[in-house]
Amino acid sequence: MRALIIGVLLVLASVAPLAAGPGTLRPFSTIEVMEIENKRNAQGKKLPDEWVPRLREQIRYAVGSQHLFHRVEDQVDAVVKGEDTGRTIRLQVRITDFSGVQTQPTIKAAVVFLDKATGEKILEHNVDARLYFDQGATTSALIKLTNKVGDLVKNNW
Amino acid sequence: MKVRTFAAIAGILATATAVTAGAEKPKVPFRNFSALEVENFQNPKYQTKAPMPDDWLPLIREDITQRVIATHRFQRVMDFEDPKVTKPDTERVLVLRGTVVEFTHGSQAARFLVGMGAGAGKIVVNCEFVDKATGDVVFTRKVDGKVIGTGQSTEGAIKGISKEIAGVINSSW
Repeated sequence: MRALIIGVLLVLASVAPLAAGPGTLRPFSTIEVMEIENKRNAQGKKLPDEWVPRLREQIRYAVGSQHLFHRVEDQVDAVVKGEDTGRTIRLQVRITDFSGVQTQPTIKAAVVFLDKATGEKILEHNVDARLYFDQGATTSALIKLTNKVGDLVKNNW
Repeated sequence: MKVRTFAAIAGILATATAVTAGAEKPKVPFRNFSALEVENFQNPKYQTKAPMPDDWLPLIREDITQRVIATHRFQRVMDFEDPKVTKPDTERVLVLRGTVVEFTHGSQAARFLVGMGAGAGKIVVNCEFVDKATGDVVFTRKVDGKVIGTGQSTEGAIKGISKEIAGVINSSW
């Protein structure tokens, strides 16, 4: 029983750094956006490959428009004040589900932030962009996904 | 006399049904193929009532792919190998091509405010199923998707197309 409790505590301790919160991403002044993995899931679902560059660009914009990082890839943000720590974080997005064209389409993704220097996983979060009511188009789901990634950055700054 | 007339009508109807059914069948049953590849449809300019956005083409292709995968008919659909279908010794590939021949964007606002078919969106596609090895057109079919419901974007018409194509594959198996 004691071993079980210790085991659970160890698991929780190892997960804790990924549970994140304000300040998690602040030590990083550059963000590299990113690798997008778009492989079919077990049900054979993925986004159209042609939409991936567009998603990448939208996420870049969603992150960059918050003016938190000194650099978003090679783009220097002159608006950002404060210390440039020289540390880079890499953003990886793995598409895990896409409902196809539906009245309320859904795109799901696993979002991971890695310290570029060490490869350490800093933050991991599953994002679910599901549309409701009159938001019918897949493009809207794409925008919702990018906004959620932007919110993830903001909430962990 | 009545019985004879009834028999004659029944006979005509049966013949007509058989002829129609024959016309609806592919040259080769789709079950002879183990893989399906879906190409991006052609979207010729200035030939439809309104221009369909080109970035819908990959979405149409992907939606069809997903619908066909869900039928579990082919061992491979595009880059997805279906674990529920036995892998054949030799793969025979069926290719789906299509051309958008009609597109009406309609109006989401009219669908919402007026309803009753006002502002309906529509996509019509001429589809060809082609034997990849020989280049023979095995089957042709015109399919369409409509969106009339309130609050739905025109993109929803894609769903109608992919559903119909999945139905064609089932009925041509």
